[in-house]
Amino acid sequence: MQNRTWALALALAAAVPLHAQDGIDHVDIHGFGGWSYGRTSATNVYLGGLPEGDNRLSQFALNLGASSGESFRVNAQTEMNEDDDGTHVALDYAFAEFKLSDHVKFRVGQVKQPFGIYTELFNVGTVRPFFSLPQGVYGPVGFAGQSYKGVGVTGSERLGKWSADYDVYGGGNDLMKQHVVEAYYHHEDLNDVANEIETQSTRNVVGTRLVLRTPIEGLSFGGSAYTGILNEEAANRRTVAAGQAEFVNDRWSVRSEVAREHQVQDEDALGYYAEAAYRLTAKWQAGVQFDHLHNTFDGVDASSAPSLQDHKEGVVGLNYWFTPALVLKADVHHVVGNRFALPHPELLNDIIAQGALSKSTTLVRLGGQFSF
Amino acid sequence: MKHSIRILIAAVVLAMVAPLNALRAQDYKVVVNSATTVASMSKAEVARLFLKQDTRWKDGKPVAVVDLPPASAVRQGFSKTVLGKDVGSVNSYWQQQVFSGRASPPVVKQSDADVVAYVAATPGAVGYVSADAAASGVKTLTVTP
Repeated sequence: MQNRTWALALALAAAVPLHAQDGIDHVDIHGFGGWSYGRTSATNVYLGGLPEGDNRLSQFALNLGASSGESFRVNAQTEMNEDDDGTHVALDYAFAEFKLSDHVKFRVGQVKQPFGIYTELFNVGTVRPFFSLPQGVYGPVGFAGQSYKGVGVTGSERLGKWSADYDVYGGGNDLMKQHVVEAYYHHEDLNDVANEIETQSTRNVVGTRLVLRTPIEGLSFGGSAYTGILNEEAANRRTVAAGQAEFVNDRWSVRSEVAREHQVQDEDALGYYAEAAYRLTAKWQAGVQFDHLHNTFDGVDASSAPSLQDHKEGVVGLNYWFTPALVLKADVHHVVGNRFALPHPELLNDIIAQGALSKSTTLVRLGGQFSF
Repeated sequence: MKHSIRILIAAVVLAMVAPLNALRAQDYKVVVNSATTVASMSKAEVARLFLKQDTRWKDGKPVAVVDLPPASAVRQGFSKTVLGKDVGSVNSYWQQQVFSGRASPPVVKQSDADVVAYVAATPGAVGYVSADAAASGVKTLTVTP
């Protein structure tokens, strides 16, 4: 089914320029992708990197935009990823936008969730200095979904020398959560954890984001928040809030975010990161990143493996940009904690029982990312 | 072997010290469709048009923006002077706009003559060409600091 979906998307993309419907006066086709090799230390798996090394991490996404007149636009993006678990196809977003003015645009459909700096650009490698987003905020603990399904309003407003971009939305969203740790603490059979990453759905979501752009070119601050009810029997409320700061110019990109999640009678998480990258030349870029996450689960005894609640990471990276649309990247990650860096689920119980769980993991990642 | 290593080190050092903007930027002038009523704008106002942050002229009519190719020396000069960013940073800005589903980059024309022809034929169009380019059929916009 997934392959048919992907084939259909490609066929549509190929056909659109030749058979654009009446009223569609402009069609844009873009895409992004990449490949990487990842190897970890010890027995832990992290960001797709395996102890024996893995070169199966590849990705491609196709992005379509069609405009009719100045006010109406449809955007869609579908994405295919391959890793050691196989091939995964997902619809990133598909929504229609009607522009009343630059200040007010109405959106409906499955829309990229406006949350923090990177959520709308989750897998686009050519807009960031490292292969992966900082896991302290963007890891599969579920601070934000990649999209919301519903309706929203977005726009911008000038405030003298300042400007503000805003989003308000409502509907539902799906979050990607790494379920292994919670399953371990709840003594579930880890052999039954078929997918290490599971989808958690939230309904009755209302959310907002506000970004203030300062008179200093490239410097901005912002905040995001949303709340909703988990689509589970307990129907607990889930609330997430985040703050962001960013400075970007031709040489520097400096970003930091903090996010806090509270799920009533379920779990809490606090994560943050800071990253800085510098263009040594037009082609070479170096970067450093630090991120941290603490994730606790209600009603569990975490004493057998407390490191499963924590993630602390430092990354250094060196990039070579052939063009702004093609980059080779080399990252070295050092992780302390096992919230995300841990053995295969079926091995976890035995490794912890033997006292052999390695709390630190080193990941080396090499590869390239592109867009068009 | 030592000789090869020295050459490699020298190449890396040269790459490291190369200037960010290898292209020699050229002077530009901003041109608009002759029916456009605006005669003068500040750099900041022009930048907002070219980044599609403002998509209407002051009289409410829609703006149609046209760019030169990324390798153009004129674009390099315009980008640094008016947009305040090099072409690579502007490309990154457009990637963010495209993949977040917020906007698409301007139309790109290959030469000054193509830009002038597009601006002359398109109501509300604005572009830029080299300072000494022929600009018949379009108006030159005065850009103030």
